[in-house]
Amino acid sequence: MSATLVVFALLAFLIVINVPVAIALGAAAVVGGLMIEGNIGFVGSILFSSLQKIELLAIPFFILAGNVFDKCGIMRRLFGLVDSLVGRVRGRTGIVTSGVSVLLGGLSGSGPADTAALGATVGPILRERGYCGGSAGALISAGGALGLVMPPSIAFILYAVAVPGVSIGEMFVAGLIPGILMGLLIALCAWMIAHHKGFDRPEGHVTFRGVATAFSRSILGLGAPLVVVGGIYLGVFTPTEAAGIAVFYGLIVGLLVYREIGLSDIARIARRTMIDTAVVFFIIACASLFSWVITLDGQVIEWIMNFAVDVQGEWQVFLLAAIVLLVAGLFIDGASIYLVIVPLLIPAVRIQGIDLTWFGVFVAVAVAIGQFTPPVGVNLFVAARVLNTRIQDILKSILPFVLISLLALLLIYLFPGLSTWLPSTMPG
Amino acid sequence: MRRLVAAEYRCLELALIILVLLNGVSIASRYVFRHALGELFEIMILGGIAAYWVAIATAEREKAHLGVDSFVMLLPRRIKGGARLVRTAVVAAFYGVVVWSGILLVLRQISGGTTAGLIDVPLWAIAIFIPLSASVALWRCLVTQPRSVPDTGRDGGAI
Repeated sequence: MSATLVVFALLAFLIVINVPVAIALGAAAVVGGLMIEGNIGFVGSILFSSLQKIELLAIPFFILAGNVFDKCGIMRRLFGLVDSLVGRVRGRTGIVTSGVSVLLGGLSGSGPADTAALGATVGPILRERGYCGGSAGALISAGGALGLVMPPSIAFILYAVAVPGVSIGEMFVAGLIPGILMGLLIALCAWMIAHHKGFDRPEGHVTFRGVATAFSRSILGLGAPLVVVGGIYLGVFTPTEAAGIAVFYGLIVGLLVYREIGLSDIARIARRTMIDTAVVFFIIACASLFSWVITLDGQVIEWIMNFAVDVQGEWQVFLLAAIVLLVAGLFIDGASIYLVIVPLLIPAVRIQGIDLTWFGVFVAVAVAIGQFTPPVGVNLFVAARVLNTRIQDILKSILPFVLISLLALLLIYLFPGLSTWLPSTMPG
Repeated sequence: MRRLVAAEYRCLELALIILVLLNGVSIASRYVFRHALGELFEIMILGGIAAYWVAIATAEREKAHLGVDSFVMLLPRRIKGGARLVRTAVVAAFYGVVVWSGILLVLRQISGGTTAGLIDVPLWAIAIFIPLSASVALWRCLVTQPRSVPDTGRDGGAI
């Protein structure tokens, strides 16, 4: 039996028995490596070298910036701003939640982190306005996934690590329009659900004074994504520098302007950031081990190359990618998908001459959908915990959001300009 | 053990603060003094690797590594117990492999005199954190019972 089949079968078994995904990848790779190489000497050197990548340096800074903004009350202010802009419509809170998700995605870069932040602040408001735990959890899980598509997305950093020659800055800029599109579709879905179920009645009015007050309260929070995305767009900063500036900006706003965090909170935020980073980096290291074994065996690469030569058009590559990524997203997390599955698809993408930026955005949306699709959907677990509701209740309400996000995926495939136009306008 | 945990926490906090400061110095150096310091990036990358490995052991203590419990929850109680045993054995075995291969890596780096490109630091001084942290994680995996639902941390952990 080939090593590839063994490692994939073993990986599936280990995931089913709840072995942490990183260790499942690593353990399956060790067995595969033993079958091919006959020793385990390769493990240490790959675990070490896989993290020696300059692109990865931005990740802890973006996670830290997200944690700082989360703690300094930015969510509440962003909610106030979007709330003041949405008029007297049914499903208003759902629409506002979706708008906040888009803005929040520009501060963090992690789906579960955004889900937790949204759940903590918006969750109680949704419950107050008639949403059951399941509906609120579904909306928050789907909204949280926007963190993967909106810049600065950690997913795009991993894509650039997995696909040599891709610029992180360009990916960040490319994610902007698809992220907003996905947010609009989620808002549309929330509005339709509110109409269908008859909750979240229309109330309030848009007034100039209300908008101006909310804007003045949240303008400093909105400044962070502007600095990050604007700086990268104009070619002023590298992603790591932009992440560092976002951290300093967040600390200044949180400590000196909003004054909602103190020096004593910094230690707790730092600790949380390092643990969140370690979870991602352990997956990256073990996924690199897994990829190394798959590449060494060569069987999957051969299948993909044969497929790439046989396909008649790029739609077949996108269809294969969508099926593989959505199915993989049901069982494993985003970071593993980027480092295990995506590199396997890239030869077919290159042979067909598909734009890597367009494909990267397509992948990010597909992986984002996986984050709130049962049975794994990490956002679902986070939302259930933060809202103190049962996961089964969220599962009953999640289907419309999955379907509308699949529509976003289709639109991104049909209209490549949604992903490629903005990066093409970048100076230099 | 509480002292070890406290030391780990302080180490992680300090590591992140140093990373942030070094990034700040790098930005200031590039934009204010018009001079890019490549060495700083190497320090951040290598120092970061050491810190992330310490954090991997801390994440094992907090059961923060992401897992999928949906399937196990559907199993009958007896099989669930068996699955838990197998899971603990696999996790322990993997950490054991990491400890062993990490030690081999460190010995290879010492005997080969491998150093980092720009800052000329011996790489074993960084790589040694792999077997050390994996040993701590191995010990933690054996002495603490896994929770039925993985705790991904307040912020959810991965991407």
